[in-house]
Amino acid sequence: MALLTSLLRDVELDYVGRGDGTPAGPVGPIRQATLVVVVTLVGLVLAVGLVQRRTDEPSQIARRAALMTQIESRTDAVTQLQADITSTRARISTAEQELLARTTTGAALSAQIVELERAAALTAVTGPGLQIVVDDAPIDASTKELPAGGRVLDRDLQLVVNGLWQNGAEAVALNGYRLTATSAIRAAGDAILVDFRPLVPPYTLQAIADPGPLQKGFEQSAAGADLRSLNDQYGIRWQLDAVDRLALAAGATGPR
Amino acid sequence: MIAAIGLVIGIVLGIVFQPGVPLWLQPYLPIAVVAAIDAVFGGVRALLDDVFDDRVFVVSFLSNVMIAGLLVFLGDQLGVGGQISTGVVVVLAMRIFSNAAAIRRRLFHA
Repeated sequence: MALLTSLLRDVELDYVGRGDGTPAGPVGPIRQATLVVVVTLVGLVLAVGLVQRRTDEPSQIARRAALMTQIESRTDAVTQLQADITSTRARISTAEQELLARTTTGAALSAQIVELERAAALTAVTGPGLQIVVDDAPIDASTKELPAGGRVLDRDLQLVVNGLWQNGAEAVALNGYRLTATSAIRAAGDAILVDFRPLVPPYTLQAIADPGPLQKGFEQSAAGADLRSLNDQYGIRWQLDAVDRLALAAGATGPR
Repeated sequence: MIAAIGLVIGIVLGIVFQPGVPLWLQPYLPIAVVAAIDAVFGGVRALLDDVFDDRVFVVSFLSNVMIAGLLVFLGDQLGVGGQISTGVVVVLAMRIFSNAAAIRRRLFHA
C-alpha cells in the first residue's frame, strides 16, 4: 500500500502551484495570454478528441464491409483451387495406375498406392456410417445472447473427431471437409477453422464405419461422456444418427 | 474567469471547426484527451485550494502531453505500445479521480 499512496501523492500534486500554500500574485499580460492560449488548447484537444470518435463510425463501417468482401472472394478462390487440386490429383492417379498396370511389380505397387491413398484420405469414400450434429447452446430468450460457455469450441470438436477415429471410423468429414492425417481443427477468435477454412455452426460430423459398433463404442467412450456433460453444463446441443449411405469427398492438402 | 472562458472558447472552436487530425497524430489523440481532462481537473482543484499558478499549469500540461506522447511512441517502437499506453491512462485516471474527489470535498464538504 505504501507504494500506491506515495505514487498517488506525488502524482496528484502536478498542477498545484508553489506548494507553499501562498496564492499567486498578480501576473503580467504575457503570462495571462499564455495561460489563455494553453487553456484554449486544452479545450480544443477535448473537443477534437470527442468529435473524432463520432465522425469515425461511417468510415470504420465501410472499411469492415470492404474487408468482408475481400475475405469472401479470397475464400471462394481458395475453394476453387482446392477443387482443381483434387481433380488434377485424380487424373494423375489414373495415369499412374495405367502406367503401373503394365508390369507385375508395377501392379503390386499400384495396389499399395491405392491402399496408402485411402489411408491418407485422398480418395472419396462411400458407405454406411454415423452423422453427429453439434450446435451452440440455444440463445437465451432474456438476454438475446449465448449463455456463458455455450459456444462450441475447437477443443470439443477435436474430442468428438478423436472419439470417432478411436472407435473405428474409416473416414471422417466436418461440415463437408474431409479430415486427413494432417487436418487441424483450430479456433480464431470465436470462429472454428478446419485447415484454415472457417466454419459456421451447426457442425456436422460424418464418419463412415459399421454404424452399430461405432455408435455403441462412441457413446460409451470418453468423447460421448464429454458431449453429454457439455450438454448438461452449458446447453450445447448434439445429435447422433446412423445413416445408410454417406458419400465423403476426397481430402485436399491444404495451404502450408 | 479568463481561463474558464478560454476553455469554453477552445471547446466551442473544436466542435464548430472540427479540425482534422493528421494521420500520424491519430494514435496519440486518446492519450492527449485524457491528459487534457486531467489538466482541467488539476487546474480546478488548484484554483479551489488557492494554489493555482499559471506558469505551473501551462508547463505541467504541455510537459504531460509531450511525455505521454513520447511514451506511447516509444512503446510502439519497442512493441509494448498497448501496455505503456494502458499504464499512462491508468496513472492519469488515478489523478483525475483523486483531483475530482478533492474538488468534491471542497465544494460540498462531503
